[in-house]
Amino acid sequence: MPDSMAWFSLKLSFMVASISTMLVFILGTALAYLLARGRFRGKGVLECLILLPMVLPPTVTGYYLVVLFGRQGFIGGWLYNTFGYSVIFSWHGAVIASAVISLPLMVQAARAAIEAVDQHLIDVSYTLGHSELETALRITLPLARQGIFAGIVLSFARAMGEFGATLMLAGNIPGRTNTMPLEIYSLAAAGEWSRAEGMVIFFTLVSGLAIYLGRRWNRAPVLR
Amino acid sequence: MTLHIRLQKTLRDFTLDVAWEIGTEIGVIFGYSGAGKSISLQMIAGLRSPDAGMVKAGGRVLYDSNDSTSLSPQERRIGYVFQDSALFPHFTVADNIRYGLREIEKGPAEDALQHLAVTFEIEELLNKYPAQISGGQKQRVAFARALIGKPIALLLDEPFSALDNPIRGKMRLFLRKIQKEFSIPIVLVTHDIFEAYTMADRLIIYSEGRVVQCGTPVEVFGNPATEAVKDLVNVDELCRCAIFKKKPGSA
Repeated sequence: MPDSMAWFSLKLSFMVASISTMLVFILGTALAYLLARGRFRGKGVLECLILLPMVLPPTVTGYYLVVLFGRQGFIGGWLYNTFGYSVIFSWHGAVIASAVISLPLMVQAARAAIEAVDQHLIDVSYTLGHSELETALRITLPLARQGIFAGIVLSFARAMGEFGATLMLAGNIPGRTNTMPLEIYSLAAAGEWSRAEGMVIFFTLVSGLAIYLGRRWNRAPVLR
Repeated sequence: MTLHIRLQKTLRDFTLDVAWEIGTEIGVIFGYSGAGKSISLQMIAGLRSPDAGMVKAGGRVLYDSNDSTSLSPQERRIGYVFQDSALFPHFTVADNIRYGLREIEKGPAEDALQHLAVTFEIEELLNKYPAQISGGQKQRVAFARALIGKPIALLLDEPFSALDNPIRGKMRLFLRKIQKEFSIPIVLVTHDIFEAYTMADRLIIYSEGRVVQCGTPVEVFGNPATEAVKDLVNVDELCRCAIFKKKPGSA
């Protein structure tokens, strides 16, 4: 039977990953559309910035997030001075860290799917009088939905497993910010391997399922 | 109602520089692949921008480089049918056609849909998805979708080239029906000599980005203006096609 701290960290991880995935779905789909169909200056730079967390060590991404969201940071300073609110050492920080780390997975999967939509379908929609926004919402994104779903699943799994950046921004505060990966680390550091075992198996299953579903949706033929 | 165009665009392999005009008739653009036929249609529809020129349809200026007028494809109200039908695979046939209406008004929209379904003999297909119907049926749906919004001109980019000969013959009859019923300028791009000869009220011959001759099929085939046109409108080839297409079992 898992102890109460394990339950807490499991519930926290699910909450953090769910909220993070919702944010990543909205922001990631919009960015994927912009990168797939937009032609603008600085597109390459934007793409690099989005993909950087994939190659940077999560602690380095976490460092940047602390610089940005810390009380002296560009965004964090404004939030603290205006609302007296800080994301540092709160579960909100874990959401931000998870979202930034999983965003590239969402953008990559959705972008590839959006680029694969037949240009003739989009052109026809325009000649039939529909705006770019309406065409995106009724034609392009529905036809790219498998890639978007794959991105959602992979982002969720990545958010569930986020460790380094979360540790930097939200800390590892028992009962407040100790998500499952952090709890596993704490238990292992304390030599309590047997208590960590259940969580390790759980993570392995969730990640395996996400990869399976992500690949399956990406490979499935486009609709009917 | 007329469609009047003058287009200039520098492309990678040649410079497109064409001007022609058609009335409420079928104008066929005929020429070898890569002569600039399809790109002309894209520029008329507003899907690509010319470097200079003018597009005027039904008295409306859609594009004029002199006063920087350039209406978006949405504002031009020009119907466009691609070779591959380009039906939306996640919509039923009925929803594909309804999508051609700019503002949904349920009563009139349903009347228009039913009327077009009868015209194009697709009443039985309305609840099916594009993957469940044949190539010829898909093209009829694409025609209905392009026409339901009452366009001021209709552009057809090799719409029959992916179809079998008997179906092509039927589709040509549909095209004549459309021309009679809708009375709008129709531009058909083709590289099929038989189609060019039989469908054109006005034949526009393209070669390397230029209009090299324009006239009725009889004028052009009977009196080719240049050696290039003579090669293109080869009467022997036309006769061979005509004989082949009249064989028993073909349309």
